[in-house]
Amino acid sequence: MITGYRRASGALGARNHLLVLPSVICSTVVARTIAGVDAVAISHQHGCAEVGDDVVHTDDVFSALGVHANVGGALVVGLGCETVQGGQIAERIERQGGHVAFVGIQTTGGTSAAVLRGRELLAILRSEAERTTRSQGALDEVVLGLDSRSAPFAGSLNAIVQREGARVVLPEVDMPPGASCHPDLARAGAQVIVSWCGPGEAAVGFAICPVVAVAGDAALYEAMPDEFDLVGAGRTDDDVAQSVWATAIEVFKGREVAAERRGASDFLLRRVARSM
Amino acid sequence: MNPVLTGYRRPNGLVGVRNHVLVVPVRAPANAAVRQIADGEPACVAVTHEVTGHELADTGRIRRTIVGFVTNPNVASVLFVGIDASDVWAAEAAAAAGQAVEFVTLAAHRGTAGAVEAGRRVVASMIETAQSHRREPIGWEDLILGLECGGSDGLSGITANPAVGVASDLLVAAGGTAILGETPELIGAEDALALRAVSPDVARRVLEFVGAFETAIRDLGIDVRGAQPTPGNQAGGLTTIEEKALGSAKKGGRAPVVDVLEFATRPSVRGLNLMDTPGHDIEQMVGMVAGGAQVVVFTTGRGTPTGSPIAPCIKIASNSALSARMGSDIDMNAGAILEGTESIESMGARIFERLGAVASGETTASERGGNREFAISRIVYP
Repeated sequence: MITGYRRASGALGARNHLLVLPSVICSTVVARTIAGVDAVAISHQHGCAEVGDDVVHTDDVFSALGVHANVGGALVVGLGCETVQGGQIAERIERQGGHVAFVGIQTTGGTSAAVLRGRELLAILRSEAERTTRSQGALDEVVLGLDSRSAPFAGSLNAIVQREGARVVLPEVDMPPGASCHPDLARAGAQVIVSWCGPGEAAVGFAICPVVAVAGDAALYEAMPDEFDLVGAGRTDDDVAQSVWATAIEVFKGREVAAERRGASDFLLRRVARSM
Repeated sequence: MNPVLTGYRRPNGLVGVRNHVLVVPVRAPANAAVRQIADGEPACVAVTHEVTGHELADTGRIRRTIVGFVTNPNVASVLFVGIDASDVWAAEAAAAAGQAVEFVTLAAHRGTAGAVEAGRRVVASMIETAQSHRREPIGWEDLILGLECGGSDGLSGITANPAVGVASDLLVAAGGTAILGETPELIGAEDALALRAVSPDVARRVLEFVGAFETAIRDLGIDVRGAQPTPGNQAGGLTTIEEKALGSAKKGGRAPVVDVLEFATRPSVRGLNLMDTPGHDIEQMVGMVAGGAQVVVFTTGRGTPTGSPIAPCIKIASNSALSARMGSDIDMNAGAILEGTESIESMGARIFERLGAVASGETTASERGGNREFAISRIVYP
């Protein structure tokens, strides 16, 4: 058995984040100011001057993350003139059953007014989110997102996880591996991300999901063991996969991953085309 | 008029108008460390970004942007935080450009916590050194001004942008330099700009870079409507990208076009330069600042809090309603031109005057608001 946060949709979350989601880079500073220390504010450089598939993708990702199982409530912070309209994202989140509120900087009267209004809305969301406490869940509710199709233990992990009735989701074949596909994995239902860090690589944290960082570089692991959750170099793939699965279960029970301990709540978004 | 223009003369000969200590990650896994180094240290500015080191074809552009940005003379010194020794290229490139730079890695300090501790010691010493730097008299010829508009409306091209054009002309006449960018917002204005080029070669390059952007958009097989003009532009009365462009280009005044610059490169000729940048407000501002702009003027019709981590940004409203509604985000109101209390010329003269005051130390709305957005422009994905 594991524990987690049961959502109205039936999904089980590994975390109960209060999310402050700027729809555009121009509202990231206001979002961070509203969030303070006990909510998770995403910083990103997107949401405007995007075209084509990027607009659809950014909109889809933001809307999906607002109702992610790890999110107990979401405050969308818009600017007003952006391509990916914050108000519409908030509406999409609400239609999908998420706890959501919205503040727009231009309509509210600028930065200071938006921060004050945002804090009021966040306090309401917080009191709702706090009513959800950890409850029992089953192993077959776990969805792991593995951020690299070429991680050596990918096959073993998939076999182990499937035996438990759970699921591993992978980036699409044409997606570059790594942190930029974390939002896509979360959108596909992953509550916990497994990040394979190859030679010279360290893990990037993720605002929505705990990231289990697996070191593939033995020397780098030796130099900074606290940056990773486990080492993959020099072990059999089955052994590594077993450790990853065991760690993921602990994470569901509340154990902090390395990225959470160091306060890494990054958000890298996959793009397909240049900004206009 | 500010009687004496002042700034910081750097050992490499460049002149800054701010005196920032900057902390920058080389790759995104160092973002958390960078934030923690700067947390609670108001004399230190941190930026974070999404670069992982797997950007392939964009690597050169990304590196040029990072190095250009940290070697802007508004930066007294920079601390790079890397993962391991392979990230040293950034510190080496900044040092080669004459910047005071330090480099710490996560790997050398057993991870984030150790790197934060080491980084905070480095920053404390950098701040002490920076505080010993003194402002000295400088000249207009030392200044590079970035010209930008964001969240434009139908009035931007009638009030704020032409007034900024007057200010830009005054700066150029005084021997200074201005950069006009936002390539997608020059589509439709390229012929008029080419006619102002100082030579046939510059004229050819003006037509080339604007044309190349149009071709790149066409090759993507996508419709730019929705991105340009943005939903906010349209709500503000802008109907087409050409209408937006003709208004946007007015920020460049009437001065001759002396050169065309690649993204994030420094002008080599004083006067009005064009830079090939995206219209994305932050990517563009970072490119201009990486190209050496110490001050930015930014016109807006819809209202945006945007600022730069290291360069003061003078925000000019195109209309009085915006100035009243978002007063704490706005520095000047060009809506006065519509009401007849200012002419385009008198407003332009006031913007030029404010430029001198801000360069000499007066703070702007976005500096007071802590607006330090940062983004690195990419061209080729993945």
